[in-house]
Amino acid sequence: MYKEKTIPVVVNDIRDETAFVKRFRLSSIDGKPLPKFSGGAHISTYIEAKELLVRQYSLTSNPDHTQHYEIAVRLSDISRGGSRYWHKSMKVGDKLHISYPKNHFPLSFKAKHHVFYAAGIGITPFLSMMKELQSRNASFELHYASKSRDACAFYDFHQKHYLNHCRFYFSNKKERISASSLEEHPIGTHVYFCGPDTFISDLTGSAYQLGYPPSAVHMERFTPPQPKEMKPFHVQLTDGTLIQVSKDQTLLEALLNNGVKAPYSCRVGRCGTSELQVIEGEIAHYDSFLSEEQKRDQSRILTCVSRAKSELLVLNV
Amino acid sequence: MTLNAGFVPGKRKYVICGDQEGLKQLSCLIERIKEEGLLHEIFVWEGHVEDSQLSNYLMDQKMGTYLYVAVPHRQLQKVKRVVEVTGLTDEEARYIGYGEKVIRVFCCRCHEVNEVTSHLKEIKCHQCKLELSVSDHYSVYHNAVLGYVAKL
Repeated sequence: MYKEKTIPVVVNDIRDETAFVKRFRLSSIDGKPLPKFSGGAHISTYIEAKELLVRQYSLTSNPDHTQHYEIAVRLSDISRGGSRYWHKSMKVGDKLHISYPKNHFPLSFKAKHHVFYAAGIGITPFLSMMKELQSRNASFELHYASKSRDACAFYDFHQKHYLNHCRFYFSNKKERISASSLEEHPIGTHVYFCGPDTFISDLTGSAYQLGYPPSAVHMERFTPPQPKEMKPFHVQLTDGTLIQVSKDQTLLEALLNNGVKAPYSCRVGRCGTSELQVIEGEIAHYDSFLSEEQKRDQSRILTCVSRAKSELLVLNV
Repeated sequence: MTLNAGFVPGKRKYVICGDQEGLKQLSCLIERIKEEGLLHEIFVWEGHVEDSQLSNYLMDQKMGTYLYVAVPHRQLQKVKRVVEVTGLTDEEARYIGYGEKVIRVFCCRCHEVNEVTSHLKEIKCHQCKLELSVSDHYSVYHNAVLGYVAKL
């Protein structure tokens, strides 16, 4: 029925974290524990509304407690249906399917100290990560930026459980996370960024400028980096079919709309599932999955986010 | 002779650790760092320096620090172990050995590790006396190459 193996679950609790963020507790239908996961993992949720809504959310609950999962959903200003459904239609007792947990944002096992930088709903993957680190007595700290105290999801939770590990930055008080904070971390630190694209790009750039090694910098994007200018282009398939990709759609969307069974999962260029081989043409990469060397090689594309620099790409599909 | 340590640009600070001979061999690198006006410090690893002195010094350093180590081959692994415990990875450090190279050979029979000069092709295990052929099969875990049976 779905593109991946799923687990039927029931919503058994809904809480308002802030005016725009709700927390949902999901349990298996048969009452058995759900699969184990590690800090930073996420699930895909499958909601049968007018159309099938597939969305990815970080697991915010304790990885050691799998009697239920928790996710937090922010009502998006530009919701395409997913967050609106969760906020306006989802009720306690409703059933849905979820994927098995996946983790594209794991904790480093090499780090001596973990530092999390979150902006807004970017806090969600760090909740399970901090719970895991606390149970291991590992060293960590959180820098959390939000519009205001009222808009700061899980503020009370952090104050209660991680008082000495957290620093908050409220923009209504003219507080900002400064890149200079990165200058203070001792060797052996790994930094993790999650939030809007500019937040991640700025901090990542600053970390590299200071000389952080790439393996000590981790990030999770909710949306892929946006090209400055979206140009239409064409792709040619191995059977000669020519498909136009308009400036408003992704290559993946164009392939799916034309009946091509192209693989995909995260849709933000993070997991690598949508990778296809490119036989000819120049690629503009916008993913955070391929290495710099692989990108330079110009032989593979993540169709969910990347586009063509040339007018035509020939795909091996 | 000076060693080509390979300058790694784009770091906020460079730490050069070595004994007098090691520092001498890195003189070109040190000159370049000085000429470019880059922040740097030299840690002299000489005589009775305790491991804790180096680890305490390194633990005070901040992310973005790059370390060069130049010591005799015989001491290189010891220094590397001290460095790694502080959290600096191979991406943030370069290790340069000089002088006679010593390799560690893991005996396939008694698991003893024999330290020998690097040019030897066959050795006798100093514990079980088995004659070993020195392979290039390296174990990171043992920091040694495997010694196969050369003669029974």
